[in-house]
Amino acid sequence: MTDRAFLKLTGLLIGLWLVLPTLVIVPVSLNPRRSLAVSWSDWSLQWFQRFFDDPRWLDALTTSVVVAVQASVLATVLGTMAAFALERVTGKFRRVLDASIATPIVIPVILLGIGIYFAFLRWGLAGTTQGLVLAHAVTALPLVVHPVSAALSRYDRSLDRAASSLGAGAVARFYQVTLPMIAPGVLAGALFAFIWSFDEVVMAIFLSSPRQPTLPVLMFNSVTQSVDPTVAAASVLVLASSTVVVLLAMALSRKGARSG
Amino acid sequence: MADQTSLKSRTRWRTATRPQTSHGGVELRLTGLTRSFGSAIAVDNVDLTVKPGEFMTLLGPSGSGKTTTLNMIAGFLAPDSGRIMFDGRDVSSLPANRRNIGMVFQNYALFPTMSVRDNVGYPLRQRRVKASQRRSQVDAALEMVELGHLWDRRPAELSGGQQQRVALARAIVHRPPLLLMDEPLGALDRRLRDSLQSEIAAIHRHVGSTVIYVTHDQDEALCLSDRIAVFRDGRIEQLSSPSDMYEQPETSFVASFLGDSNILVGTFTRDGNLRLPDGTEVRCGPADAGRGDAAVAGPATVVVRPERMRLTELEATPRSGTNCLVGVVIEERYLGATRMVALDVGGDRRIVVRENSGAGQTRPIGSRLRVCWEPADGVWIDRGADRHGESS
Ligand SMILES: Nc1ncnc2c1ncn2[C@@H]1O[C@H](COP(=O)(O)OP(=O)(O)OP(=O)(O)O)[C@@H](O)[C@H]1O
Ligand SMILES: [Mg+2]
Repeated sequence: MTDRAFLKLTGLLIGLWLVLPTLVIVPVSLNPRRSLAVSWSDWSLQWFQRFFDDPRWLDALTTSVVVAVQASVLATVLGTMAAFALERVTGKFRRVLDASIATPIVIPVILLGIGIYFAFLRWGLAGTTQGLVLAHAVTALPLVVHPVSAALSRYDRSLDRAASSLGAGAVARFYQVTLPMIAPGVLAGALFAFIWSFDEVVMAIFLSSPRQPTLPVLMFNSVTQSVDPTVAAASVLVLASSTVVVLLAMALSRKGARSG
Repeated sequence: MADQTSLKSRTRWRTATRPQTSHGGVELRLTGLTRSFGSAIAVDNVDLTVKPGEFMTLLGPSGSGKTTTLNMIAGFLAPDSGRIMFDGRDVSSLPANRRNIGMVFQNYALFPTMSVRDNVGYPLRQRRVKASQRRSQVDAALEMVELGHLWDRRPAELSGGQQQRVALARAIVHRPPLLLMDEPLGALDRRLRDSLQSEIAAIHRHVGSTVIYVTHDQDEALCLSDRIAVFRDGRIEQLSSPSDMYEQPETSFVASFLGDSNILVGTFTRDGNLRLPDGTEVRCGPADAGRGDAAVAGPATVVVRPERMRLTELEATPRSGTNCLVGVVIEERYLGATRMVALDVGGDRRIVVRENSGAGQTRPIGSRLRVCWEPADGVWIDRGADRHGESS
């Protein structure tokens, strides 16, 4: 066996090892009986039916979408601004800033959740949707800064000069020239931030309102407190939508890389 | 006598009596303009007045401060000291977008996300010109650069020459009183450069803007400009019309930067001649010259253009009054219409002669020939050294 083929095989096995346990929920969600087991003989869509009939699940889905939209918009605006600011900084200080923006990725989410929870308790934001939006937006920042910075590093600054020589002020330059050029990067960042917030469960357990749990929180509660295969249907829905959004975001950031 | 334009087989499009279309141009005045980067002075106390509608070329070697000067005029770079005036108004503190200029860049700098029409319409959009009016002005500008049919393309779908034409149209569509160009033809090949040069000249005639044109291509400078400012180390070395720049260079730097030249170094004699190190005396300049009258003997330099020199066989007797040296051919270069012949005239001195290649015979290496020129074709350079006090 050549080295190359060996590498490919190893990659494939690791990929399967990562993906297969996730895919197990697909047959579970099609299980016609009320158990979290796999049935190979017959199947039904009743748990999907249940998901869309039960207001608890639908409300949770709505809450998740509302939080994720707000958090990703906030993260995109702040992250894009941060990427612009970072552009201007060079040298040692730049590395310090890069590292500090990446902290949400490095620090265990449970620590972030506890820390933010105590801070929000004092500020009266614990258990509110706004609090959760804020927490998700801040922790999603690096996901936006990264693709936007990459797009900006390929952006030709002489376009700014051309635009200003032709009469454009700073605001017009940004909206008419720079933003259209870096749009794929910004959009990719927004989608990554959306998925981050939509899937996130640890901080949501600490911070979301008890009467308005997000979808991942409800799924967590459902698995720990009862045997309800609806959670499998919910998982499949989350898995499918996340996959679509992430693929879209990746295609966008690749497009940004090419057109830069 | 060899025709000096035969090698540069291009003509100047403008005749001396071109009607002054000053309606569209601004008077640009730079006073004491200075800018340094760290400890290096990029532009050093430059004074320059450009007349309305004038085509001024900043010519000079790499790093001489041309782009830095242009960027300060455009408003991209703040001067350390000095002032920039448009029609007597100090614009030094205005940002670039408030200076009402047009600019063409070496790398085109077209907006990749916009169509050709939107690119060209950009200055009008900033000036809030109505869409219908904008459209007709854009089409007229595109027509001027013969690209009317490509209005819906993206910049990436155009060739380099076409992109630069679009950039040109974009820079003049709003009829700016001042048009700045930084080596606009630098990235194009010879043929495209030639055709774009004539387009730039035509546009300048048509729009009447004052033009500041940066280049390090001497042919471009000679055929486009009303006046040329030769830059050296951040200063203007000489400011003249193209023909004066070529015929009457004031320093040996200008003489050797603009065209080929033979620089004869020797001493100035009391009777107004140049004595070469080997003792030969050559007569230079118009008979009266004027320069010699009060001068004492001292080091001096004379420039003679290669096309003003002739080669003859040793047997032929030179006409009296012409300057002649005898040399050995060390190199011959065939250039199509002309050829360059280099001779060693002794003492490590080299003389280059340009003659029409139609003359028939070649100049075999090693043959001894006489090289002659009229005294009037020798141009005195300030005795001693250049204005900087350095020799080059
Ligand atoms: N942003 C900058 N930082 C530091 N030094 C600079 C900067 N811009 C220009 N310089 C220096 O200033 C001097 C003049 O540069 P400038 O770009 O004006 O030259 P130029 O005449 O346009 O040359 P070229 O023909 O190569 O374009 C150079 O020595 C250059 O190294
Ligand atoms: Mg330059």
